[in-house]
Amino acid sequence: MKKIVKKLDVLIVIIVLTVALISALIINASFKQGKFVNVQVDGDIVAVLDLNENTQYDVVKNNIITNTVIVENGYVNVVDASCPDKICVNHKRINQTGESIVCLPNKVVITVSDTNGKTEIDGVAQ
Amino acid sequence: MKKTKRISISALCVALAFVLSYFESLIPLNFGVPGIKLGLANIVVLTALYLLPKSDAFVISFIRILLSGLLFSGAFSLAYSFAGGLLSFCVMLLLKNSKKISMLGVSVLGAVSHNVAQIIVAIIIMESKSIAYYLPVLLISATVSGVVVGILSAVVFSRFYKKNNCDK
Repeated sequence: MKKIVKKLDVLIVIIVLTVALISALIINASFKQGKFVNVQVDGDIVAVLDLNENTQYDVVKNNIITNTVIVENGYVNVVDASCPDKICVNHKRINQTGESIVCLPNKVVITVSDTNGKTEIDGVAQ
Repeated sequence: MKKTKRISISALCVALAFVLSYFESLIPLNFGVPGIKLGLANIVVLTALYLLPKSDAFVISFIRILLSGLLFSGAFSLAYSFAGGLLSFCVMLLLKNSKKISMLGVSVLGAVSHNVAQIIVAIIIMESKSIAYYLPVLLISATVSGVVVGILSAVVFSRFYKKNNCDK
């Protein structure tokens, strides 16, 4: 067996990490304090919550509450989910534009944004 | 290699990969980002890619994903696993013959392509582009697990190779 690590391997690791770092920086730069929370289920925005207003929202699918979303002190967080992995519940609370919490099993995406996704869609429809 | 030997080695590899998937499902790795995992089963796929004919390695990967998808992670994740498995297999297959890249580099790029494919599928299924924000985190986790898997595979490969002097 030849050497385990070759020059090109090290280069690959460095390149991948650099790409990760650069894309993280770009994403971070685009973040700013958001105003609205768009709750998306199966690709459709089902609710828009105001980030400055403390509320609770239950995502309901087939009469079952799949995810419980709360907005508190300018942050949005998922506190309960019906899926087994609970990845969205473990996700830290978010408040920056572009940040999102995703629940793959229930196909729920919660995104913080500057714009009210619902009125935008209505605007196009008018 | 004789046909019987090929079949039995492939079957053993599937069993081993399957056990590793199970073992992995017992380790709680929950960072709030979907898709972060060790990918221990890739040790078997990667080693098989170097030791067995490529069709066998592909079948091992495919059956492993189907079995562990149905039993451990739930049928919903099968689309993600298949996309990831397929792309990473193709990438690893293409790179494996390169003299300049060892198993470590192949493993890292395999892990990275696995996550990239999963993100693409997630964007299509969830109809939301914001999932792409997870890419940097997933790239870092893929590099770490890729390095670990690559080193382990290289050790397994060299032991296996020495012992059997593999009659391909």
